[in-house]
Amino acid sequence: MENYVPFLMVAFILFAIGAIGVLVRRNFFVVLMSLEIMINSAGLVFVILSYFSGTVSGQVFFIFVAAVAASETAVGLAIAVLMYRVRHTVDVTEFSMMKR
Amino acid sequence: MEWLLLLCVLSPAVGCIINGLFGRWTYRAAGVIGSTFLGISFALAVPLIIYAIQGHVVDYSYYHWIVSGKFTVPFGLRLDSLSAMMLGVVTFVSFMIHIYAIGYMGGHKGYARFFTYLNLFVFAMLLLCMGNNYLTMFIGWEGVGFCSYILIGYYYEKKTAADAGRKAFVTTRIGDIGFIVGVLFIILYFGSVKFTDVFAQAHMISPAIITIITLALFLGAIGKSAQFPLYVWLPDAMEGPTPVSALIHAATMVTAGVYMVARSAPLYALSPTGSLVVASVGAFTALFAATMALTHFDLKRILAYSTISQIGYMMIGVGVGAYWTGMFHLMTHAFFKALLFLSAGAVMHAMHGVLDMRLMGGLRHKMPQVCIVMIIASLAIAGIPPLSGFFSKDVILSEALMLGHPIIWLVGVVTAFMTAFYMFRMIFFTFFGESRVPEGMHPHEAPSVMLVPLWVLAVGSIVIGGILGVKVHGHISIEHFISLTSPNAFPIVHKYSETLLIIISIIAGVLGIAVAWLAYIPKGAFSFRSFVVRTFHPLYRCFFNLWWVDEIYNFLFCRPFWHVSERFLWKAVDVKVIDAGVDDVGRVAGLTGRAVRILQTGFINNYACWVSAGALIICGWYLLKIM
Amino acid sequence: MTSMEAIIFAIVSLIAVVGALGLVFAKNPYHSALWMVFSFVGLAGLLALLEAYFLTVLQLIVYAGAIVVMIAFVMMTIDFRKVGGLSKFVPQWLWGLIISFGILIDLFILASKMKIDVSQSGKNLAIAGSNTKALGMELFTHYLFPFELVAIILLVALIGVVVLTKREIK
Repeated sequence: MENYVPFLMVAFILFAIGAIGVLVRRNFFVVLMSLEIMINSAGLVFVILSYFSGTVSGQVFFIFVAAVAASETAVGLAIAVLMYRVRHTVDVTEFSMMKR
Repeated sequence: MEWLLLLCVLSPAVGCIINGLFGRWTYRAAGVIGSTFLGISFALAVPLIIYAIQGHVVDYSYYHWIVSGKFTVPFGLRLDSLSAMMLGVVTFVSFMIHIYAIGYMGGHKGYARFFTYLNLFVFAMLLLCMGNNYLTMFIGWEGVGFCSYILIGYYYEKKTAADAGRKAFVTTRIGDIGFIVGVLFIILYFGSVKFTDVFAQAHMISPAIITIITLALFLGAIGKSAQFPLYVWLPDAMEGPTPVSALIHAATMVTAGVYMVARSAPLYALSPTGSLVVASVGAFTALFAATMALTHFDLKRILAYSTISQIGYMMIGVGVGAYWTGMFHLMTHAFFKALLFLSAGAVMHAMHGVLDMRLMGGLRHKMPQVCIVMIIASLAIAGIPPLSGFFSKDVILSEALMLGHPIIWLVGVVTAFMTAFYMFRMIFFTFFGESRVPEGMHPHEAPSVMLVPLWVLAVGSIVIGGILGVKVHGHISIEHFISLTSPNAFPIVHKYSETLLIIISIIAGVLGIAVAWLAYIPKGAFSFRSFVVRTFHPLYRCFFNLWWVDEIYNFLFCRPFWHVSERFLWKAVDVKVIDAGVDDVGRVAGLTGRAVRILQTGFINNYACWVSAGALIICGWYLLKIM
Repeated sequence: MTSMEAIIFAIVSLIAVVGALGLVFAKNPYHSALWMVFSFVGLAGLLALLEAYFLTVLQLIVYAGAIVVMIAFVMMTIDFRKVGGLSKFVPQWLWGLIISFGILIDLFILASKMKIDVSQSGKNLAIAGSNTKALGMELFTHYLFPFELVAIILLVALIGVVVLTKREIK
């Protein structure tokens, strides 16, 4: 295989779909899951370039990305639970405490 | 030796720092601390002066302050006969005045502040005298100017004092510009500011350039040493506390100009024109200031005009090229003028701040010791042998005549007569005759902490001239000493009998005292005075109104300046341009804030949108660049 | 790209993209979670196609397994009927859409402009036929320090989560 463009296209489409999810959805959990998609597509780009340039380093970075994504998910979920306990909602438009 | 020298110069700075930082806690001890560090400085100065008398020279650069290519400015000190003399005068007189000030300033507001400033002043003055290059000298030069400003305005709550401080600062600043220009010329043509380098190359520079440099430097001296036409700040400077008047505006700072000219002797020696200007300005100032002192009633202002006049003498001395005479007079003057000011301060202290002589009279019964020392000082300044003023004034006049300046000599003699007259007018007015002291005021003798310095200075005023100025085995010791550094510049053109000249100057002095006695002591004195006043009415008015110099300056410089300031700078530039500009800046910031506030919705998905949009724009920008 | 590989690529990428779209546009968050599993399986297929076999397994176990289960589990603690009235999209959804498409266009331009050296394509990815061994060698020789750093990040996240959720709310 020497044509990397289709792979990159798929990764970028996934990234854009994830971005749409983050920017338009109200449910905080869906936002988190969309973030997962975005992060995974970024990891996928690492692996694609690792394959086509013939080094294994990109795969190592996928592992790092996965680990950081796991941490981020865990903290994000904790915040979601906390917000639910404080505001009794998971609607991101209700999370406007930063304004005051 | 060079480290001893540094220590000697830095000692007052240490005192200044201690009093300045810890003045809140040293309150009562501030005076003792300040005086102690001055005492250390004086004690260290003694071996240094002896070292210099033995003919040694210390010239040491501690570190390089400015390095720019080949041009370097070291921070260095120089001890030679000239600066050794200044070192002695400055440390000794200021030590005495510090001790006096312990008594005089006791109970005043800002006691520690006063000694902080005073120590700072002495430090700056030592830097001025001991620097081994023009820029180090300039630091001291500006330092003493600044200290003078803050000390004149010491009673800053009094408007006249604050105004006087400002006047002194602005006026001397005019002169300082001249000094800066002179130093810049020196840098331009000599490529160095060190005295040794400059003087070694001086004969290789064209005389026209040397003349420009000397005149520019002398402009600095005019401002600092209160010569005509920049003398107007000195009488007003008497608003400061009396020790300040004695130390700064009589004994040390105002003589800095004389010292500077003597220090630059190799330059002035190459420029007869520059030297002649120095001598002429000195002579004119001496006469002019003496006429103004004749009719004044304010004790300290008489002394201020007398100081201006005496510095004029020194300028004659250094101007005719006999540098040692100017420095000699500087030294004796430092003693007797400090003494006069301190006695005047004692009188003022006793009279609760009154300085008008019309409210005094007959004080010799109340304060006999002050009366005696003041008479000693007046005899010294009047040039009565064998007191110190006689020797120094006489050598200035005789050198002026022998070096070919008969007019200056004549002016000097007339001024000597006037000096004797107004000094004894002051003595008779203050200490003799009927008492005119207002009811409820009880003048008293000064406390001993003030009297001791007075007596020390009085002894100095009596003997110092005789010790240094008497001709022994054909040469005068002070002449020999100063000439090691600044030898006479020009050859003697006429030879006169010294005895004759001495007799003439004694006659001038005695005549002045006699006229003063005639005018103020005998029964018919008042009719005699009114007769004189009527006869010379226009002249009297000129004297009494100080030649309207302040009014002329006011009309020529201040009024146009005010008008320009008010009509143009304030009403047009300030209000319409600067203020409006500042307001608009504020308004623009406010409007921007109001616009940007819309963006702060507080919704996180809005923020996410902005972040993404930012990323989009930045990536897009770079992609456009690579496309 | 052989025809076989092309067919497999088309299938797995379709699965991944459809799964992602389903995640974003599903009304029910539980359905979103299931769509995410679907998407991640497709993604794992892509990884397998790129001969990253260890990462394929990692993707299936950690993402499609552990993380989805965690999200679903946390969602179960929240009663969505009570939350109620939750419409799907934020009021400014159009802007989000526009920006996302902008990003997509940016990235497409980037993909078309990008030039990489493909002479080594598909090589060096395995030692003695084992991708896991190659990955392990790389991870524990060149990337040991970042690896430890990531371990610390995980630990910090763990502590942070405990601190956040255990705090008493007044």
